[in-house]
Amino acid sequence: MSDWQLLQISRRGVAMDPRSGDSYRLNESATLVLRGLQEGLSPQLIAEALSREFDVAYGPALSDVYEFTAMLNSQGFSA
Amino acid sequence: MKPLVIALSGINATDNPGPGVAIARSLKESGRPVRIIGLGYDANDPGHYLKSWIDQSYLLPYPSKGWKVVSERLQTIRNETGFEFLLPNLDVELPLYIKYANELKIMGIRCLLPTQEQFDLRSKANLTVLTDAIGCQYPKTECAYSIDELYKIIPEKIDFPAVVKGNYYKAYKVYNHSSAVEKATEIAAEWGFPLVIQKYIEGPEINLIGLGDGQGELCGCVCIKKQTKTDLGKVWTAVTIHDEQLIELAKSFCKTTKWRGPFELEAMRHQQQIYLIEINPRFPAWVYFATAVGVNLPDRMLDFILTGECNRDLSYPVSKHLIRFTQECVGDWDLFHDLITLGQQGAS
Repeated sequence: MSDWQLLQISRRGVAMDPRSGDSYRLNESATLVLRGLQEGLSPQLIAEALSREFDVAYGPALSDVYEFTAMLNSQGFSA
Repeated sequence: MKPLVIALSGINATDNPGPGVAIARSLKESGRPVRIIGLGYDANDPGHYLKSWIDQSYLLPYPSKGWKVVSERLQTIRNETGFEFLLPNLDVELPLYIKYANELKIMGIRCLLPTQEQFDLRSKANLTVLTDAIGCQYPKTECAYSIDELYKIIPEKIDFPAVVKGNYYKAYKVYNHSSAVEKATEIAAEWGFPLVIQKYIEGPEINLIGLGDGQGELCGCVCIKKQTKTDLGKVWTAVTIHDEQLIELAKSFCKTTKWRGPFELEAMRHQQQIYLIEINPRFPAWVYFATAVGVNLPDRMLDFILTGECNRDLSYPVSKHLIRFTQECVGDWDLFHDLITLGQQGAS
């Protein structure tokens, strides 16, 4: 199981690492991306969902997904 | 079904709480019929008046009065209430009960106590040796037997910020000599010497409550991260977490010491490492948090005393949140008078 999988997302979009108790507040798009990653969706599929949900172009949405995953990695959450 | 009659101490549910009331609450909620006898040292201990959880209560002489005085009082209470189980919940009581464990047995009183050797191993002064054996870090620690000695220890041996602790109770973070001396004097006046001087470790405080079976196995645990604390360092809000490293440490502690009974590991997480700062030889005051998330360790302990076995499930839910609150309890002043004149209240 990846570190991403462990993060618990509350209904208000706060992700908690159950190992440390550290919490991270997510905005709506970050919540969608993290849920997509946890479901095992590809970055492309997540970007499509992001594009549909938030009315943004596919290209920037895909960049956002990659940026978010890079940020997760930099926070110590490996895939 | 006849209730089990259980006497327990530590009913000082104050701003520096003992675990007795939380244990009583856990046992009352276990579904097992129990009658709880509270044992206190002060008529102002709130547990005397919390009738939902403590059915009857008595004042006890301080352990420093010696075994003869304490055992006579226990015998009187046993004759009046028929209690069969004794759960001592305060650090300062344990050496006496451990020393006279056999006498308690002869009196027909059943307990689950560590041995003297186990108790000494986890003392603040000896933790360096134990932490080596169980494989974790321990902050640099020195004992001061006088205030003069304190001056020699900090900052020469231990830098600021440091933590000044009593051998049994209280701990303060200090940043300079004047606050170190002030806090050391306060603790020594109440609890005596030695004082324990420890390097302060920066990071989140994580705690584990557990129960050891005396054969080397852990029979249940819950880990929490303290979110906020009171000025006395007592938990005010916390969340359950699954810290694999801390759980492994608890298993190692049980295996190495063959710990018998309840315990609490207090630790700091710093740069991916765990620094053990204290091992308490009893349930902590937040024991009801574990009960409320489905791990009723006082009930498991009672099972263990009764049958030598108990539920050993180590799972529990994470992301459960604890918040303490203050509340007033109003009753008849006669109860207080009963305690200060008769040394007991609530007799049926």
